Amino acid sequence: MKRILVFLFLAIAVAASPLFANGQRQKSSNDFLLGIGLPLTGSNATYGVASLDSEKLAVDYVNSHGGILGHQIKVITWDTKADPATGVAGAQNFVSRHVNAVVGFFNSDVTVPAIRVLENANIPLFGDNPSTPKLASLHLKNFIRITGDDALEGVIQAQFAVKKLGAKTAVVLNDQETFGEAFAEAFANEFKKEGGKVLDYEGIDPTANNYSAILSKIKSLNPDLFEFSGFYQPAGLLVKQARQTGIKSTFITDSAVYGDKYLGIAGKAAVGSYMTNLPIGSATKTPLEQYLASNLMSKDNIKVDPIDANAFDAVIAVWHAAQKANSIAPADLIKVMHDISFQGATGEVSFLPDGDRAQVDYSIIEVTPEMKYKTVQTFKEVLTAG
Amino acid sequence: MFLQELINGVVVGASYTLIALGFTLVYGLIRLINFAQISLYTLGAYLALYFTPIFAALIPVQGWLAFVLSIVVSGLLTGIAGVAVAGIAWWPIRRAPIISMLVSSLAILILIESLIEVLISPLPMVVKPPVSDRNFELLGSHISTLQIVMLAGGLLLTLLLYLFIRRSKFGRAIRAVASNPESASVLGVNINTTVFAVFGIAATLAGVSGVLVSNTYGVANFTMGEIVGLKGFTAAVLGGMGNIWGAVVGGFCLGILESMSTFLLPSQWTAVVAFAVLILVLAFRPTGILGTRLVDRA
Repeated sequence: MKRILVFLFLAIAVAASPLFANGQRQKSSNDFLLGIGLPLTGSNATYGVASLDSEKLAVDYVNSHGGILGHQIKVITWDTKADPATGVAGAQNFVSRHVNAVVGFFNSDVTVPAIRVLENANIPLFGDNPSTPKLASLHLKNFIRITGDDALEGVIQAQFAVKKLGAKTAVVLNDQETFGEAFAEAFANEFKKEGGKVLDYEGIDPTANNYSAILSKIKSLNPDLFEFSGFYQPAGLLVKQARQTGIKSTFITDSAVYGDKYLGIAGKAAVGSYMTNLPIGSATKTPLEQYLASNLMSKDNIKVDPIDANAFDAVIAVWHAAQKANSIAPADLIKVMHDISFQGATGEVSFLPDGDRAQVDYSIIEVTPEMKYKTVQTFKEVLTAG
Repeated sequence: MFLQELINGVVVGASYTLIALGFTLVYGLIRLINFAQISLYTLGAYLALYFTPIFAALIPVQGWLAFVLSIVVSGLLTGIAGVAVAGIAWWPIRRAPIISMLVSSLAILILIESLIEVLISPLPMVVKPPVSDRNFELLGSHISTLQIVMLAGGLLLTLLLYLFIRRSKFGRAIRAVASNPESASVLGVNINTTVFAVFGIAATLAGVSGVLVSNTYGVANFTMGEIVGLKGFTAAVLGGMGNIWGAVVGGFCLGILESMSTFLLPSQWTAVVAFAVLILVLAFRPTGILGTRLVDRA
């Protein structure tokens, strides 16, 4: 009886886990099977759920335009929980179910190990938002990504900090995850190259809710600005608690922080903070951005952000690769995936041989006193400012 | 800056202490490390997420009263949940080896967290306290109203717990069961009722801690208990598992130690320092700083 009870509770706990909530769908021979791996639960679920919404909109778009070479897309989702091991299990699941292509995995540290599994199985990965420089440095034949490279985003941010904000000293923080670390390193190196001084460089625990100890240190160092690379929860808490502690230094952070959640957690402390971003939501929308924007607005009453648009374009890229290859076989998609180009929701999309976007138009945005995001400088303006 | 680190450490230490007290109470009584305690901390925070706006709407002018009511109601409901945990994790298997209870308390931890994740939200929730959080300056250091509330709440509950265990009839029963269940039973103490009550008290402490922490820092998520729970457990071991003052000493020592080490070293080293000190203490005092005897030392 005792053992049965213990087993029963463990079984309920496991069954309640959303890992097992993925729908099992049967492939009909005429379908194009698309694996989508995203963090649908856990701390990154905001991004994962939003990405999935956009990716499903893209799937609907393609299916309503005749599908991929006449094949309707069937989606298989996998919740990575932002955990590398769960992501690898997802990649193995996709391989065993013979998917034609995979879109994902949002997190860099999930994508890096998972893509090896797909590479061995000759399945292409159309990256939505994994942005670590490491992925490009691997020169994988089965990989392209819609998002930009952290190294570039960090460089843009550091140049803006020095050239436009006039910052001479900085404290650089990251969340000790693949994305945050790479970004912070790129920022710190460029900041030093531009003549700035990094007073302190630290990794913080992104799951903590109290950063008072590290903020005391920042207060005593009194830098011109403090930078954080990571996601919105620690970013929001850091800036909120920094202002409570009396830190006046400018706060600058990355594009993954962008969104209403950051403003909700930080409250008024977010005002005057800066972040890098993609030029989504500008006056000149591409047709696909208009489609995405109007659907997201009517469905969830939300505006498009870069993460949504990247996710959307990753699916559109699959479509274009199949058209170029005139085949839906994974190996044929891999052969042509680096050579496609199209006008997506993120603007002109084309790729370098290492899988990176040929051009990403970053901009710098600021939180206004009305708690709105406002573009203060574009990529080209940052690079040419002096 | 030393004073600021001390303030930070003491405030964090208060939250560790409340969790540690819960671990130590249950351990002192039935030698079980009740991991479900960690999820009850989270449950308390989420209950307050619902009760705070209700009380704030009912008594709109009295933000503080609404806040206190929310803390009390959420704490009590978490206490009831704690009794239910005892009914599931301990009662049916109370004569089984401790390892079975340990597994079932772990299962409840996962179950409660997963239920919050599935039924409420997997996303972090923004917590808005019904009171304005002002900042006070003290010799160049800062402390906010809610940090003061957290510290005061931790100290008050510790004091109340001490008086309850030391002075009340029920407290004497708890001490009797902790030191010798058989003799206590012969003397007419109902052991089962005592254990259920202690699970309830431990859960209330965790729940209140969850409410205070989530309101102080403005965010709650379904895994929020894991880090603090681990720290609270560490604090209980550091101070001496089963000893109430041990939990207090362990909680505040760990809080201050972490705060100081983050200031002096890169923050990646915080956990290294904290656990190195734990190992050192245990090497010289295997029962922890004050861990000579159990709850009867309270």
